[in-house]
Order: sequence, then C-alpha cells, then structure tokens
Amino acid sequence: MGTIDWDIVKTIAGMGYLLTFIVVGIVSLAVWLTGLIIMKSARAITEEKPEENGHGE
Amino acid sequence: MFGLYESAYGLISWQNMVMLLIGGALIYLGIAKKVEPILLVPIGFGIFVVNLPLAHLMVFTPDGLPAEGGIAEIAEGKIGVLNLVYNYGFRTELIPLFIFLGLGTMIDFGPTIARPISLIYGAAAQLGVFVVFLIAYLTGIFTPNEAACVGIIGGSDGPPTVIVTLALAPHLLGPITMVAYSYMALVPIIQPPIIRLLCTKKERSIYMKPMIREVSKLECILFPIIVFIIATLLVPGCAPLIGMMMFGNLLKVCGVTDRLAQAGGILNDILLILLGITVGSMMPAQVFFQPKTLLIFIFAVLAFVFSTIGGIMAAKITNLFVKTKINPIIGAAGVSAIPMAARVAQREGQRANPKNFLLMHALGPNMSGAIGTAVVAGILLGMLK
Repeated sequence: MGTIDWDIVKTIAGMGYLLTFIVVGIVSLAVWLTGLIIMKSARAITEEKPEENGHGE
Repeated sequence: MFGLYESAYGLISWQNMVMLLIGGALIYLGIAKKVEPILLVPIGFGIFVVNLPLAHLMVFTPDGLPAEGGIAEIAEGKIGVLNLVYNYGFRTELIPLFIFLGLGTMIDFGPTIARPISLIYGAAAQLGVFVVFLIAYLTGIFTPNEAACVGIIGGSDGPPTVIVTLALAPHLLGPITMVAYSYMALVPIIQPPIIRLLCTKKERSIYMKPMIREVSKLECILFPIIVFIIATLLVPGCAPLIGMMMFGNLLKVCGVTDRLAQAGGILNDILLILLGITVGSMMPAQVFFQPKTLLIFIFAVLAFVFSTIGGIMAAKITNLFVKTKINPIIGAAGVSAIPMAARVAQREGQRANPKNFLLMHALGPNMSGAIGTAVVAGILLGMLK
C-alpha cells in the first residue's frame, strides 16, 4: 500500500474533470457560434438573391 | 522421435485452461450472440494464441511485458510475430492513432453540430474516468499512473485507452484494453438499470421530435477544423488523437476525397484485426491472475456506471434552464461506445414512450463522447506523463 498524495488527487480528479468541461465547453461554444453565423448569412443571402436577379418586388 | 518431444500438452497449466475458457467465451459471445464480433472474435483468438504453451506467437518477459525485438529476433525464435505487431504498431502508438483516423472517416458529426450542447454531455460522461481514478488510487494498490489507465476505461473508447495505458502503465495494457473493449459490448446490459434508476418514468417519456436541424456542408467542413484547433491549443496532449479523428472526418465531409475516406474505413478494418488479436495476446495467464487485473474488472464496471450517471445528470441539469425539455436518457449516450450507447438510449426511450425516437438525438452525445475521451486522454497525459 502506497501513501496517498492528496495533491495528485486534487489535481487530477478535481481539476481534470473541470478542465474537460472548460475545453469541451469552449469547443461547443465555437461550434454553436459558427453554425449561427453560417445560418444567418445563408438566410441573408437567400433573402437578397431575388432582388439581385431582378425577380424581387 | 515423432516430434512429440515438443508437445505442449504437458506444459499447459490450469491457469492456461481458464484463459482458454475465457477466450472461448468471448468467441462464443461474438459468433453466437453477435456481441461486438468484430472485436470479441479476434480478442478471444488472441487469448488462445498466448495461452497455448510453445505457440511462440507472442512471447513475454518474466516481468509480464511483451518481449522486445525485431525481424532478427523472430528468426532466432526469441519473439513471435505478434511481438512485432506490438513493438511497431502499439509501442509507437501507430495502430490506435490510425484506428482513430478510420473512425473519423466513418463518423457523422451532424447530430453534434445540430445541437452543440451534446458536447457538454460527452464531457459530463467522463465522470467515471475521474471517479474511478480516485477510487483506484485511494485503494493504495494502484499508482497514480495505473489509476488513470483504469479510469480511462470509463471513457469507453478504445484508442484513447490504449494510448494512455501505453504511455503511463504499459504493463497493464493487456488487461486494460481487453476489459475496455469487451466491456463496451456490455453497455446494453450496464446502462439500462442506471437509466431507470436515475430517471423517472415521466422523464424517460419526454417526447423529442425525431428530426434534428439540417446541417450545411460548410458547417460539416468547419467542424473538424475548429475542434482540432481549439482542442489542441487548449490541451496539446490530445493533438494526436483529436488530430487523427478530425483529419479522417474532414476527408469524409469535404466531398472531394471520397476515395481517401473509403480507404480510411478499410484501413480501420485491417487495423482492427491486428488490434483485436494483439490485445487478446496481451492476456497470458501470468498477467491475468493478479489481484490488480481482477480489480480492474471491478473498477471498469464502476467507471461505466459513473460515466452514465454523469451524462444523465448533465442532461437533467440542462432541463432546469430550457423551455423545451430534453429526454435525459440521451445524456447516457455520452458514454462513447459508438453506437451501442445511442441504441440503448433509443430503446429505453421507446420503452417508456413508444412514440419516442431518440436515436438522432442520442447520436450527438455519443459522437461527443469520443471527443470528450480524447480530450481527457490529453489531459491525463499532460498531467502524468
């Protein structure tokens, strides 16, 4: 039986899980923002297109 | 005189016999019960290979590690052909990394892109990794490095488990990878009771529209690039795993490298043969019959249980803040055993409410679990290597 190093416990079990959330959270935010921008710009393009082609009112 | 002087019958021990039975059981499960046959059949045969005395396909040192060496040592009979696969394919991390590439060419991240919060469920479902690390380390039997390798089984993803174990505790590679791969097949047995215990019938019945938002091609192309850049900048240790998976996925989604993407799938199948038989051959009786190995079997179940709990709790917490409630069962799919965990969510959801069709919703957390485990692997390597 080895001695328990509580610093290791705190660093890995505590910080490790927290860090996972931070990293994945940032990735998730970036993916969401990218999707939002692409959707908005796609919507803007489809709204503008009829006028550009002379089919608008 | 008839070559019988080299017979192995007299050399086989009762421990070898038990291992042969275990190998036979895995092959039976794979062939007769169709439980993960792609993995269990080669692993089962690998166990045969290493537990038949004098077979010399995989040779171990007295310390219980695969003997090192190359072509010359094979010619001299010092090592076997599977030692070569282990030394050049595993020790160099080549095989697990290319398997992740192949996986990337087969994964559709559409459900994850459509609902990015799935990634959070994938992260939450890593709970088992850290809880079991804690338990294993606090027993005093496992060193921090060994405990991390036992914990990562909870990520339920093969290649990260192999890579972390190779780096931190290579002597445990056999039992850990065997447990990791064979327990993935047990996800349909382990998860349902936990889901029913943690979610009320009302929660399990929450209806979710079967369709998710359609994802544009541009989003699909940007996804692997964004994930790779951000994850690597934040956790450099996960770069090999995330990089390979995202590269494979880019080949699949970009639309101009279909042949390469198909090759990635074929490469994956070829490497799975090598992985399966080599993992099985890492289980000689001398390694298996150790207290640590038997504890790994117990802790691995705990890791799966806690990971499932983590995913479900994250989904439940989300429900506190959103108007349109989500079915918390999909959180359990954050355990990345692809696609078993998603199928379990689908089945449990339909059991509670026959109108429910959760598969597409569960695939998001399921794929995210693979990303989550790769990130966790990078974190553990960064902290302990």
